[in-house]
Amino acid sequence: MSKKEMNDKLNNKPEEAKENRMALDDAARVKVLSPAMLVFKRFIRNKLAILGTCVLVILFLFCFLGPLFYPYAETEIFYGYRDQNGSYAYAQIRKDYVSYWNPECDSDTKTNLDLVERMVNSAIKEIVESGSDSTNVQAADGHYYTLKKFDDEVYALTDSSYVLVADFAGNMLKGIATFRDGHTKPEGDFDKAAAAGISEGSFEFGGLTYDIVKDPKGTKLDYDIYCDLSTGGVDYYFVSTVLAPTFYSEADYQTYSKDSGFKYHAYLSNYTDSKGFEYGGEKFTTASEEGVITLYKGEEKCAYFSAFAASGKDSSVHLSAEFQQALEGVISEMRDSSNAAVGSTATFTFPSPKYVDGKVVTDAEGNTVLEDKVYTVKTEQNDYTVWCDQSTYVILIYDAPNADHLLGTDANGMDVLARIMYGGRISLMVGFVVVFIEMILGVIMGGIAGYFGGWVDNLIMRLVDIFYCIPSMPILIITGAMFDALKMDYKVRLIWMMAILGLLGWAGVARMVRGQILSLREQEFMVAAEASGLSTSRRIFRHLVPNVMPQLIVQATMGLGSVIITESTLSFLGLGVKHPLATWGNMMNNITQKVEYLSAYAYIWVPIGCLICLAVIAFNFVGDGLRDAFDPKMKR
Amino acid sequence: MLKFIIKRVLYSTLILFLVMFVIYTLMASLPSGYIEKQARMLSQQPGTQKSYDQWVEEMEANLGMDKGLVEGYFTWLGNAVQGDFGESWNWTVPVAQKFNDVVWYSFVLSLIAFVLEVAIAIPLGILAAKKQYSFADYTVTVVALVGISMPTFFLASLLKLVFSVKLGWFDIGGMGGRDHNQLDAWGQFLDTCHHMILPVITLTIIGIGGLMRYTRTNTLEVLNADYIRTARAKGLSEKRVIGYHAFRNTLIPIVTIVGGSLPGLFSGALITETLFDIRGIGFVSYHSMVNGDIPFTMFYLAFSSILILMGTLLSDILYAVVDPRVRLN
Repeated sequence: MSKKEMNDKLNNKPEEAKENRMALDDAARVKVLSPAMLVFKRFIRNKLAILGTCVLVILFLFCFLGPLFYPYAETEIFYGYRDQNGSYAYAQIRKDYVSYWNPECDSDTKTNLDLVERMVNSAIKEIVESGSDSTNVQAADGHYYTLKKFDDEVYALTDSSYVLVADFAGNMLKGIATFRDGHTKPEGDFDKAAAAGISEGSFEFGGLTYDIVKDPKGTKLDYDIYCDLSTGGVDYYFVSTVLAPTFYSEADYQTYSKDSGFKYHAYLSNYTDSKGFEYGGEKFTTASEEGVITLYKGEEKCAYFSAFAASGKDSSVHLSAEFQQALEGVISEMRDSSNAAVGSTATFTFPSPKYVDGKVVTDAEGNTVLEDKVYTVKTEQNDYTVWCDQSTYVILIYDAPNADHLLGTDANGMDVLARIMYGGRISLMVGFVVVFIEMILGVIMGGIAGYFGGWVDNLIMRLVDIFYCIPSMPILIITGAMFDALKMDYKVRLIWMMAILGLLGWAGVARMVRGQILSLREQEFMVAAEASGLSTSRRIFRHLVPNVMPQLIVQATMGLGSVIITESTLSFLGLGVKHPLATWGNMMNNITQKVEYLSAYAYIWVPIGCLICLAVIAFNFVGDGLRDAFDPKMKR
Repeated sequence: MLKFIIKRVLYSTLILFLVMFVIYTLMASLPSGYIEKQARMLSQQPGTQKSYDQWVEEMEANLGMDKGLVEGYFTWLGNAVQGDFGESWNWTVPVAQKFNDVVWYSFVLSLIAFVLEVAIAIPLGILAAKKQYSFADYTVTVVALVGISMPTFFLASLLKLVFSVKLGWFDIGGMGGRDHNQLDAWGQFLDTCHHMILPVITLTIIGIGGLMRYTRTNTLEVLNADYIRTARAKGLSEKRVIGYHAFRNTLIPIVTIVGGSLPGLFSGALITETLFDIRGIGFVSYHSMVNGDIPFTMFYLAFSSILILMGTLLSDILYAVVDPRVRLN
């Protein structure tokens, strides 16, 4: 609508309307507004103040109402599954020979051979060193047994049958028999009995029959003494081996892995003529393929034997035969290459069941989903450890932001967003309580000083001067450190901290209130109040203080910001509000102390710092706006 | 004028005496056992030369805390006036010596930041007032408010994150690099300067807001004054009005506030120095206070309150010196 048209409309108004037009100074023209309304209208005209108010309203809703709708509590700790690199299995190349008894052995025989079994490792060492394929060992009852070598890895104890025990070489004329290594001369006059037996070709001594045979290669007088040391009984008493079976199926593993008797047959089977045995109603056969002995159960592959032994870190981990073969390959490669020093590592991948949230993932048909997983083999002093990422149930520390935790979790596995809300409550509450204490103290002290004047004024103002001079931050730090030393309860120290903050801050308010009251005291309305006989307290609190209110409100709003900064700084230093309670300051405490956390968890502390800034700026904006609204003269 | 100054100095001394008493009372009324506990802890530390009894004895001799409050206060004050603040528990050297060793780092750090603040804040404040409600004005206002509202620790952490961790321009803290000792004197100096850059930036940004805002408000007030209107009415150039008539009057409150903050340069930056590991008085005091080093803490509290008082005194006197109207009253 153009100007001209508007004027036309005005001019074309009906006559009576023209007559009712108000005069310029008509009282009805003046819209009467209450002082509070005036202030409010001036306030909402200030854009920054409106912005500050909006920010504050949002902050308050966020901190005080947010937790009601947010599912997590302030100190709720979250647990969950997380891939953690941990030891998964151990492996070693077995060097010690372990013996498996023949199940047919009775317990007396076992007791008799107990010492032999325990010494088997040194006996085998002897065989290896001498390069022979057997050695004789003496049992507890004095009889000799033969430890027979089948293979580098398999030995078995058997009766030593007819063996050369002694000869007369050299000492024939003296009639003294020289015993071979591994045999000792029985007690009694053995030599005499032997000499007597030469002509007959045999003699008996100590319950054993000895045969005397002329040494075909030796001299005329060289005779050898043979003896059948066998006691009769089983073929083999036990098998000693470094091998261990690796079963292809878990069922076989469960059935046979602990069965010593089965193992006895299994290890021996490859060296028997039939290459097989029967055990527990099943038929087993063995075959040697590429140096590896494989055990068949019927036609099926059942297990293979190897000196390489691997086991899971605990009973929950079962290593499959394929995994063990792969691991063996990696380890033998490591042993062949120069990569064999302690601490050296090698990695390999192996398709393994996929875990999500601690459960194996299965596809639609119920088959386990496999994924390639990286395993690291590490050489230790005597064995090898296998490491891999495992789905472990842990406290979710420093969880990255995700759908459950929008800002992740903190060092204690607590939800950051929840703690920001509760922290905001504490920070804002501390601000309000402290400012309230400051205002109460300041109004009372300033009011008394300003109203009464004289020596009261002097005294209070000296007190104000003194409190102005006390360095507050050092005092707060000292008290914080002292609370720490006294191990004060976190709630008690929160109250103390608020009290101290309030006590250190009232001087400014008192000075301002006193100044205002000094000037107001002389004004006419106070004279009128005095003349109408009002009581002193009524005059102070009903007539003077309300007039100081605007400045008080402004100072309180500005003060809130600085108290929030002080509190967060103290909490940041670890000397303010303590752990179970969250505040914006102490949430930043741990994270910014370490360099690696500083950058890695910036998503936690940067928003918190911004919130502190935002709150303080908003309080300052509102304070500025209020000051301008209360006292328009100050603004140009 | 002289009479005014003498009166102010005497009054300040009285206040200082009372402030010291309040501080002494505060320290003396620490819950019983706290000081003894600290002394016991000290005597059990490896390499300590003194037994528990010696620590307590020395402390009582110096602080007089075994005597009554008033008598003890005078014992301590008597020692303090002679410059004897006892031996620091945390640094195991006399307090005065430790103070002397570190105070100059703080002073230089604060001085550089202070010069920067003044050099940036005053021109910008005047500019903002000159062009009120312009873009420049809003920028200055917002920057000033952000500076005021920013907690030191947050700003320091942000600077560390950006310049130390992400860009790698500066070390995360400390006063010298790893190879500081291998450098020659000039290299060491440059290295230390390099390490001072982030703390100086922190201090400047934190301090600049208040001064900028103050300058702006005061300049606005001056620009509204009658004599400025008169100067304009006389047809003076805008440059002369602002640069001569307005500027000199703007300076009155600014000089007092700037002068008043001069003593504070010695007090060290408690938070900034601690966060950046600058071994100035702020850093040393912070660690003394946290570790319950009573002699050093007493000294630092006394020292800070003297500086605050001196600041007030100085700004009062400067106000009288700069503004002839005050002197007439």
